Amino acid sequence: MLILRIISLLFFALALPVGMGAGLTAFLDRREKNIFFMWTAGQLLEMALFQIVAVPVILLQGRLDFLDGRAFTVVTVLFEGLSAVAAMLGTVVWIKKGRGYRPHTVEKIPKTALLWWGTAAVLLLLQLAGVFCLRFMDGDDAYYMSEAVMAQASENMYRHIPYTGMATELDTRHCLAPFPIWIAVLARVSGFHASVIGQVAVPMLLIPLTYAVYGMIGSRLFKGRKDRLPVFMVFVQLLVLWGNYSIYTAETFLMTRTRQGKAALANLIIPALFLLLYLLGERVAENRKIEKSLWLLLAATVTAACLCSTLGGFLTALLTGLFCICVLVVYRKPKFLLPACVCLLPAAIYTGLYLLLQR
Amino acid sequence: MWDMILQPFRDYAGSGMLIALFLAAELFLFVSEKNKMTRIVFVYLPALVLLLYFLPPFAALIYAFVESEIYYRLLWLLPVTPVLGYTAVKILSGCAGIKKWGVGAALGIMIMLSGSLVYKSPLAVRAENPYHVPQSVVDICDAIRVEGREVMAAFPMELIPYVRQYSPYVCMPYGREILIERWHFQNELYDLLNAEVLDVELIVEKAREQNCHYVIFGQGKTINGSFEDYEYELFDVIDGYTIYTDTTLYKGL
Repeated sequence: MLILRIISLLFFALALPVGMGAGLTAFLDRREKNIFFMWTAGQLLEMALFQIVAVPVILLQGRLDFLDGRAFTVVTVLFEGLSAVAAMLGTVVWIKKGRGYRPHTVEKIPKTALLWWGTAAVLLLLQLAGVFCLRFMDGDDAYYMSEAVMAQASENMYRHIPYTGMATELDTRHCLAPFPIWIAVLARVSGFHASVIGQVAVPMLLIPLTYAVYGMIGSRLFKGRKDRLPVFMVFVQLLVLWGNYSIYTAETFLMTRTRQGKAALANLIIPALFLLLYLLGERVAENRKIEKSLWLLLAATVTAACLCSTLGGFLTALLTGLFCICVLVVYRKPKFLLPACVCLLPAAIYTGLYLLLQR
Repeated sequence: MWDMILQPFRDYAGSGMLIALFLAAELFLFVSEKNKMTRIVFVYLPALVLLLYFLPPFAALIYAFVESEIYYRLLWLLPVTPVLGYTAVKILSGCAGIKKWGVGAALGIMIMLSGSLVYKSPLAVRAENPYHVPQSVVDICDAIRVEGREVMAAFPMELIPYVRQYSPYVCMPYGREILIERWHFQNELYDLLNAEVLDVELIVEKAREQNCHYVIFGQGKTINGSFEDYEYELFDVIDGYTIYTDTTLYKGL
């Protein structure tokens, strides 16, 4: 039974995102055609899809009879159904179009680089072991994890006070960033308790994914000097492990509050946005055409940021905006500004909706 | 306004040593980095983010829309980890032979001394179960659960944040909000149940007002009165917590 649950979780939390990411990656440069980019892209697409599916249902529950007593099931079925279709399509597109994945030559890794890679792997394994063995007390879990546990059990989303279980009006402060509901959906499809998904499965997923994003950033920075990448990865992990210089750092959030949307925002979404902006900037600098799939990924990243935190849309829009100003000043090529603005529309929509609901 | 800008920065920076290293790395990259895109992403962009963060009109605008507690999150836009990692590798790549290992070790030690190991945090404790809640919460919630129904239970302070992370079927008359002083929540039953001396008569009165099926309290309390006198009965003692149940309330059993 446990094995079946784990297989089911791996299918929904890993295989489907990779399938979705594969379809998008098929249209990108050969350099981006690797499993880590597929995984990252797929995860961002999947989170964006969840945001698009979940928010309308959350807002409409209690207003549409059809959703009475089954709102959470509707979100689960719609989201996983669409994810499965998108992953299938992605895989087909990858098979038909995604040539160039396999490296032409297998390069020999120098002994010192192997040593650094080994150190990086040991550090990662220690962190994953920490996920199992340690719990980090955080008061906010009383809201976020309870909301996930309640959604899984009661079909209600943001209509009860998670702290006590009392019925209440729709919680407009949190309902537009339904990251806990995403955890609850993973719990529903895998059969695990939502707290187990949040406390164990999500960190097991997001910590390696965060390092994968840092690895891809590193591979851009050390183009042609692959031996430097494992050294970079070791330093990055040291910085994360020793990043608890206050309780507010992104690194502390990654290690101690991984199951909360704001941790995913600070450690997956924002670094992934840095990577995407770097890729976009490279294309602008080299006068290359920017692939539509890259723009789609930018829009998905902004939408995924809104899933993680109500501040997510604003932060990603701010960073993208500042980046556009820098590129405009340095390269004087304004052509990319319009599509970049279009990609920021989800941030404007969700922020506008938030302000409207708070009135 | 300056206080509202500087205080979150101080809170975020902690001892300030790693942020000082980050600023030094920024300066190093500003002088040495040749790749234009890396300069934009790792030097200009963080500089603009910092500029905006310390700009009072911008801060005033943000404070107008969001809670004061989250202004520091703007600092998440600073790529502290990749910038420091990249700078470390750049410095190392300028060394050769045995010197490289020495400099590498020195940089690693510098990071460890400037930062703080997350596993040394006082908030880290051994996980007792895969739910990552205290085992006593699991045991109590399993014991008081009634199949197909929700029950109301008043818990002691230390267990409050965990109860509903484990069981959605156990409701509480007060929750985590009571533990946050600045939220100014009050509940008389909470005060009575967490006092050193338990006044049974008052506890029963307040528990009935809030339809509590169970009242739960820890060891070492002086009990003033007897619960049995008020149609309560001892339900169980689990992991050192005493559980009384109100026999006058319907639990669906």
